[in-house]
Amino acid sequence: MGFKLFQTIFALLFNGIAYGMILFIISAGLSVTMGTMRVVNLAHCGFAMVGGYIAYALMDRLGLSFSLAIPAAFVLTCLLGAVLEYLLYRGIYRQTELKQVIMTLGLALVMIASVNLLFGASVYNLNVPSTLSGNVEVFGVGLSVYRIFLILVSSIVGLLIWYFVERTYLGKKLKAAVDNPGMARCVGINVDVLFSGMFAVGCGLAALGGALGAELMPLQPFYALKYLVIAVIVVSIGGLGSIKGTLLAALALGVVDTFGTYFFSDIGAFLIYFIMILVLFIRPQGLFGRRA
Amino acid sequence: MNTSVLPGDSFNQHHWSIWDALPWVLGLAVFYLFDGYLALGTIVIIMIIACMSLNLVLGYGGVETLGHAAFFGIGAYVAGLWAIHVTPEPITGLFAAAAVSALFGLLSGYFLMRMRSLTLLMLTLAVGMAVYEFANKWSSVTGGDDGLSGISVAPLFGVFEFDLVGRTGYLYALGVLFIVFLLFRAVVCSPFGLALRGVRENIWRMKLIGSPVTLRLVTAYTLAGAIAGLGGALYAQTIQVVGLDSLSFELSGNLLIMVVLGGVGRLYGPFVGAIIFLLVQDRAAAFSPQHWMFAIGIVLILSVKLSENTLIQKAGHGLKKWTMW
Amino acid sequence: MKTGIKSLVLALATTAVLAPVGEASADEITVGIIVPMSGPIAYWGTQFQQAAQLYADQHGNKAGEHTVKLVFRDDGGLNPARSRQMAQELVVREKASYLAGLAVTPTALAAAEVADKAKVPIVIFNAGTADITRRSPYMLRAGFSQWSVSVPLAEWAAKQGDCKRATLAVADYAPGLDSLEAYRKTLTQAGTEIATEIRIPLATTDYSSYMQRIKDSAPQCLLMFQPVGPQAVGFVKALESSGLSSSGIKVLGIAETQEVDLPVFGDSAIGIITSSIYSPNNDTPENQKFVAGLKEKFGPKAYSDMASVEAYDAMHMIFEMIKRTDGKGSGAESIDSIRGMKWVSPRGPVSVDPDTRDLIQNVYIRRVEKMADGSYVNQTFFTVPDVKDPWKEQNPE
Repeated sequence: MGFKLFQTIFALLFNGIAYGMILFIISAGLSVTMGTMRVVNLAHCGFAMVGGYIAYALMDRLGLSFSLAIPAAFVLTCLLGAVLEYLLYRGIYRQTELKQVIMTLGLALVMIASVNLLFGASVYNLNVPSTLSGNVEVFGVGLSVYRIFLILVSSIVGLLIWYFVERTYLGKKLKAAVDNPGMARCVGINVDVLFSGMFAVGCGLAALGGALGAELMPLQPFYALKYLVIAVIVVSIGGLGSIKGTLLAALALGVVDTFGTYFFSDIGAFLIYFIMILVLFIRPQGLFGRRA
Repeated sequence: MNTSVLPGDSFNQHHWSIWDALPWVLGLAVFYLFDGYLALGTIVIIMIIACMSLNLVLGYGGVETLGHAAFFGIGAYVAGLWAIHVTPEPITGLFAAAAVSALFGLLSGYFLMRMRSLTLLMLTLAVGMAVYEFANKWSSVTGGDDGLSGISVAPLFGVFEFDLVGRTGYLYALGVLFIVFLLFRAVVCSPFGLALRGVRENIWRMKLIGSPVTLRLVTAYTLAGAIAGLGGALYAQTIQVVGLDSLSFELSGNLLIMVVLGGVGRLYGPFVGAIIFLLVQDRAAAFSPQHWMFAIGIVLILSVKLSENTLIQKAGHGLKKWTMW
Repeated sequence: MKTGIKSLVLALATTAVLAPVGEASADEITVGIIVPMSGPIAYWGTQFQQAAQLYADQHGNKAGEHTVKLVFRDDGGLNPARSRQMAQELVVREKASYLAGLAVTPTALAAAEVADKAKVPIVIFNAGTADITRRSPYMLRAGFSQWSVSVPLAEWAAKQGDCKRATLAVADYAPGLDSLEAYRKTLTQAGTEIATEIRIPLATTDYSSYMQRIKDSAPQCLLMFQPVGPQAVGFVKALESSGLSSSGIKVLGIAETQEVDLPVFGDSAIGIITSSIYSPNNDTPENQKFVAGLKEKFGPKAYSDMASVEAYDAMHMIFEMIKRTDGKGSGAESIDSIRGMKWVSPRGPVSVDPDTRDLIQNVYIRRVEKMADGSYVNQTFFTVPDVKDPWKEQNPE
């Protein structure tokens, strides 16, 4: 009985971490946008959805392989993010939250409608290559190869982000621009370009998460709003602007959700909302956020 | 940096004029001339009430919320359950719904009104969704995904039956709207309303002059809860089925869109916004529903990009006199 | 883009075709059809519309001497207020003598209220909660109740002998709970041990912990129900990624492998057994004509599924009601005129149950198989004939 319990917990932990990592990739961009650029971006999960659909279209219509389609989706969505940032977002940085909410909500609706018109209302999945499908036995528990892949890729992405921010010159400039934009400008750092770049990469990351995570979170037009709430919970708990916070919050959420649904399925979605409300009351800026 | 929601003419007082009779004349005209559209008309009236509620906290209090549907839905379910389990008499149902929604407003407002903008926004979203999930889970009472049905409503005042064409329902809703509007106007033109607008314009200064900001906000939130609850009750009584859609994020978003379209913080903003949104949606749905969402998205984006966030402002100076207070 | 413009053109064309040609005896009967054309279940709307339109065209828009006008309205999918508003407008403004449509229970109930007040027959296409036809004597159902497909499935499973221990996993909403109760009752009566019952919220994104619970309960067979769409797709995919689909546990369900989602699963769905009132590749002349008709009218990508056959048969019921009452009958007379009516529909032989106003129909037990050309089908291998709604049988009024 003891070993069986261990196996169950191991399996739940594994799945929870995989789910959490996908949430991290998707939400990282939102945390950055809301925390450092102070923009409420309700269209964020729309980018994740668009990324997923781009990957699907590349694989289905152009016949690209999985390993090509995913990075392509990342790059294309980065470009889309950059374009939209210039056209739409740049003007609303200094506006009230209400205007930001309205505009980004409008953008999200446009994304949903476009995807609906182009692909129809049915649900889509990406065809995972055969090398990544199937299961692997660890401790007698069958672990999905694809989820192992997800955890690996997300960890690598996380490490890359960390390395970039902490160890490169550009990363230092970024930190300076975030900490004190005025001062950063004074020393010649091009804050606007940096922020645009951050936004674009954030959108690209969301797309990466959307494409990779299509197994867990199937693609459909309402994706953009359906998963927005989860992303918001992750970044709120983790603290706006903190990548580390987002990672921890996403992992915690993934694991708590997985364990919660196994052991207390009656409470279901509540657990997440209660935790969020609780955390925000005690620490309104989230676990690692900054008090502005 | 929280710039003001409205331009400098935010503190004008509303003075009664002949134009104030316009919405009611229109309302009665619809009743007499457009018999087949009373169902739509009733929904428009109900949404105007819900938008007035949101306008109170958003337009006058400066509180941005993504979870306002919670008040509406709570009112709807309470009225529905009241009709099924207590009495099908409609007026008492209205009071019950308003009371419970107001209580919810008081409780959530007590905790929420201490929060800052972004956190508050996220929290309202979370609270709204939590209420939705709660209603979903408690399906033995609310009917869950199936909705609450079997709501029968006794004749109004014991005399007027709720008929198929929707005549009674329409006039009933219109009457409630009229009373609520008078109350609303009284509140926003009172010293309390003025203080609320002060909070919206500059919360720090209000605190500095010793104004009990949190108390004012909580009061506004509670009042808004009551108003939205009334709207929800009307919804339950005229449709006679309450679905989870009355608590959904979609409804919260739609209310926000309607208030913004009509003019945040304008006395008649909810009227304009709700009427235009719902009428266009109705026609668009008949024509091509898939394009509706696209069009609305574009309109929202444009409305912000063009830096004019109200249709009333676009309509020019002639309307200004009527629409500002 | 295409569907919207196409349906608009179709609607206009239909209206043009139906303009009275000046015959003295021809009068126009309006049928109001409320379907989800937008919102999360919009693909039901497309299927409904196409099939209903096909029926009308195949009969020259005529029922006997009378011209039939179909008026479609959108209820947004899950919005009971909208569906009630549409029903009211159709009856009051368009003077509809018959109402039809509706994919889910809340919208069906809201519209049925109106039908009941107006004394107009309403034929529900899909909503599956068992007792809704009892709410009004003017309701008829062209679909099926959840029990009528769940009980035969469970009975078949129990009879196979390799289902002595079963786990039940359903979506946590009314139709899912209906199936749960139906499975539990039927299996327990047949002597099967129920290992565990799992209720899964509709909003679930990650099914892995549910898969874990299923594995831990060590059943021989799994009986499931998830609605068509992201839940069905997510659940079946999770079966594969957790290794359950290849673990030797028999998987039985109802709507999870509908044609609209089937291509997404690939090989992982092979072997899943489902029960349904319809299988598109049923080899009957009526079905072949139906499928061919759809493809001819709406293009090669059109396909027939449960939704289309429900709409098609509902149209048959309405057209017959008009014919048999010569377009003049009251609501109650119309309904009486088709009590017990039998015919052969694309889904097989059906009849209108004279007491419950549901349809008595075959239930097909199918298995997912891969065809020679690489496509996937639900292949019928067992038929349960003339199924009456078991819930109503067990719960008489």
